[in-house]
Amino acid sequence: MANILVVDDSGAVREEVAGFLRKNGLAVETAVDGKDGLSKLKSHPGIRLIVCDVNMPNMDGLTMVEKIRGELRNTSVNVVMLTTESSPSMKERGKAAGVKGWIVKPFKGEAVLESFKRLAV
Amino acid sequence: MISDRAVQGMDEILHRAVRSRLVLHPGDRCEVARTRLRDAGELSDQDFVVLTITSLGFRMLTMIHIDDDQPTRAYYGRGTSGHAFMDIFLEVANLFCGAINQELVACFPDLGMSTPYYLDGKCALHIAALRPAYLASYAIAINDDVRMTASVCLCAQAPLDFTVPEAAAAQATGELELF
Repeated sequence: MANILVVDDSGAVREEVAGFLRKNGLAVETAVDGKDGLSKLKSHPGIRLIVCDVNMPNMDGLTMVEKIRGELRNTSVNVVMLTTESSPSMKERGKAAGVKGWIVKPFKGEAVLESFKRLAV
Repeated sequence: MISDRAVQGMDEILHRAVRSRLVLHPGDRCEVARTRLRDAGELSDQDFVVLTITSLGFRMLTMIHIDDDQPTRAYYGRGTSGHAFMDIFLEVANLFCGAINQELVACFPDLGMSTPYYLDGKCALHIAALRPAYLASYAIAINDDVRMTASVCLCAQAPLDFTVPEAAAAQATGELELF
């Protein structure tokens, strides 16, 4: 059962991040945007960590987090943003929405693997 | 409307972004040179990738025209072609523009960036309608055979003057910042 959800509109990023995590023994599900992410979270109750892009079509990542905490009333799942965005205002919005951490792309798997393992328990 | 040092800063940021994001391997050769702005008519037969960085005072479009040939597909596309290659290159362009955004945010905390998208080459015919305050093109060659043109189109709603702090160039990426 998947315990990590990777949400990114780029197939290349989904493949890179999910592929790396699977290679390291983690069970991963993927979603193509925030809307799909919400749907996957509902249908995979074992998900403990969401790794999510900010800028995506249909529903952006921060709106998705606000809906997870608000509409779904899910305060337990950890969310880490993986994005090219690094503006303080964007991070503040993330913090206010209940985001646990922030990674500025590019993704460097080895640098975050141990933290992801802890957050996915 | 755009100061000389802002233009110089933009030029330096773009050079650094090319070398840090468009060049994939440390040993690869890379040449970046200002090139003439091609006529819109010349550009209109080639689709291109666009990203937009926006602040309250300006909007910057970064346009990348890439040769969809074998060396380029081999370099970025890991042997893929067609839609799969385009998807990979969109993310490369996203990282490239993201690097520009990460430096500019040191001067403009309100910045936002679009997702990358492909535009039909004919859209280039309408660039003049944006009334850019600054327009520049760069010819980029990696290992001599991967070639592209990156163009910057800056539209300012107010006078624009900034100096990018040196520390901004060395911003850490890929590390988890826990809140």
